[in-house]
Amino acid sequence: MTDQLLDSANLEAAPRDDPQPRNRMVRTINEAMRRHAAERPHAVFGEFVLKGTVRRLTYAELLSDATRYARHCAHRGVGPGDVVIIILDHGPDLATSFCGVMLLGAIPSFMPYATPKQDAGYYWTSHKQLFDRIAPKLIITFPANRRHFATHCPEYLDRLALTDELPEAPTAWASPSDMDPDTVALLQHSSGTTSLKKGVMLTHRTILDQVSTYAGHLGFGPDDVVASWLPLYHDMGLVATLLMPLIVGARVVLLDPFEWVTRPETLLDVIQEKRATFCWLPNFAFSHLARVVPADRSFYLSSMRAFINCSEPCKPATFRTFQQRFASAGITERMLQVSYAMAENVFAVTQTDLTRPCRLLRADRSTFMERGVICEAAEEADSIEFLSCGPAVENTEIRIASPDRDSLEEGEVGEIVIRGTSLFAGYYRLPDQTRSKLRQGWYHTGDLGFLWKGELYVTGRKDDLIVVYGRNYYAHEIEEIVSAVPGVIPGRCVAIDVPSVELGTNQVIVMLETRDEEGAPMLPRTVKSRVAAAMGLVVTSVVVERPGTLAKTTSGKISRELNRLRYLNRGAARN
Amino acid sequence: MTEDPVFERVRHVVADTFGIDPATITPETTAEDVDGWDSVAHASLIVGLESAFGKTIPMDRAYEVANVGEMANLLRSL
Repeated sequence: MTDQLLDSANLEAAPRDDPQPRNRMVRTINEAMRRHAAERPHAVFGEFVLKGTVRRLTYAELLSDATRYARHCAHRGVGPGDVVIIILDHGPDLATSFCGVMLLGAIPSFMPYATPKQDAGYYWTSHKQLFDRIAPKLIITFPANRRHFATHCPEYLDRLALTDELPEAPTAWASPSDMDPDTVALLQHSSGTTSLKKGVMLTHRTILDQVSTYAGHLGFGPDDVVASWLPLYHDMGLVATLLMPLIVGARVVLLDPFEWVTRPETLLDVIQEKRATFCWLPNFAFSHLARVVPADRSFYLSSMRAFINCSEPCKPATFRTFQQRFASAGITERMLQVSYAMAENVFAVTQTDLTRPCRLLRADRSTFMERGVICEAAEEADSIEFLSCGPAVENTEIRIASPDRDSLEEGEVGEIVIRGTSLFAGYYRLPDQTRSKLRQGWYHTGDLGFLWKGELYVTGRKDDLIVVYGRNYYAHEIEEIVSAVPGVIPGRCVAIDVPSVELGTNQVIVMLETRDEEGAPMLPRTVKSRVAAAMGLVVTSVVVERPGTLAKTTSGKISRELNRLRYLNRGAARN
Repeated sequence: MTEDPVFERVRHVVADTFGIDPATITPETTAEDVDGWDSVAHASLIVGLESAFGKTIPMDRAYEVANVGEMANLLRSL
């Protein structure tokens, strides 16, 4: 970064006719970014760690490089309201391109790139379907991805903007300064089958509202340092580790997700070295750290204010294992916290209280299983443990609903329904799906749970959504893919989830019927590779059965629940 | 079936990691042939192999190998 660029960023950041007094609330994410660049130009916004090297980005550099992107996008015909897709590998361009598109008043959306392990054909077919629906004006990507577009998706070649094509200096360019805070700031695509991904529309106002309440709830401020490996195309990564720090003026240290999986201790090294204070992780990541970090490695992690468990069911056993493994590094029970969050509410719906350990509720197992009602378990009774997700964040209301009652009593299990000022504006170009989930201002989450002493506890799902490693997959979408595999009797398969205590997440098992005895031994491999290619999901095991073996409901439909019980019973018999 | 000692050791670490019979693993065995072999489990395998061989496997190469035989070749080359 040259001084000239820094100067131009500073000039742009403080237009003379709009002095932006310090105490004025910002109305858009762009204003927040400009303000930090003007007031603390040399403060570090982000450090991107890749292969042992660190690339640092100050707030001034963030604005300056974002401006280059904005200008380039404008030059390529992008205007306010246009969607720009960002497919990048790990590095500062993730942040600068995203912010650049927002500066322009256009709508950025992160998407993952095809990994070498993925079946290229399927990745591209499904992404092309998704592009066709979203109709991006531009796709920002890394130079090496151009040849993949040329081979697999030539229709979009003329819409590519490569990271090495940017003009060097942010020459004169007038950014829209009076943007309406109710314009859509970005699209967040939920995981699942690529072509069916729903783009959650979030406006500047809802994002700022969420950040101000959530940051207030956490006491998160400019002195905080977030350490993360989370991909930014996921809502937890996008909001907790990019947007909230950016709006508040904090600092992030971001690791490459692929590097982290293989070397999870790098996250702890970074926390120690950068004196990080916050880290958001899905439940499995706590297990992964406890299992894979070499036993002879020790750390000093007392700078941490909280590790926040989020985006898949949080397990008390996982916290216990993690805390025991890293107690010598200074990890206490109080540092392990929980949030219930979703892109449809920008991010957090609830958050536990950072000043004390999370509440743990021991409920009577039979009342819960048989009646869906919570009673505190007697000392010796057969019980089931639930970890609290905390109370609702300010400006968000929660009620628990059943098909015939809008609001259940404390301790009754039903669907979690939410409303508040952070709620999304709908799914992009999917009005029917928006109407089915967003009714009279309430978002129907599909999650099951209950309220207890003012705090939310999540118990499961109303539909067939399966959460694996913090990402969402629908069983019926997996089944559609399996059903189309040659040799599988169409419609004669189920996808079920089985919890893994060791991994701290769910595993997906596919059970299917075939008439092709000769081809049967090859079916598991084919099924696993098809599902991985289509959804990025690795099926743990494929059970191949003879025709008529899978259990059916009384109405003759193949039952996930009955087959799940059969699978678990067989496992129990084996053990 | 090979008698190669490097492959034999890799085979046993793979078998231990995924709780399967070593005899079912050949040089051609891929992740898709073994239940539970996903990218998170792969990390456990890498740690297991590094500890068994006393070597560090470069991250970018750890995910390039297509099957167990290639994993043995990679360890041999380090």
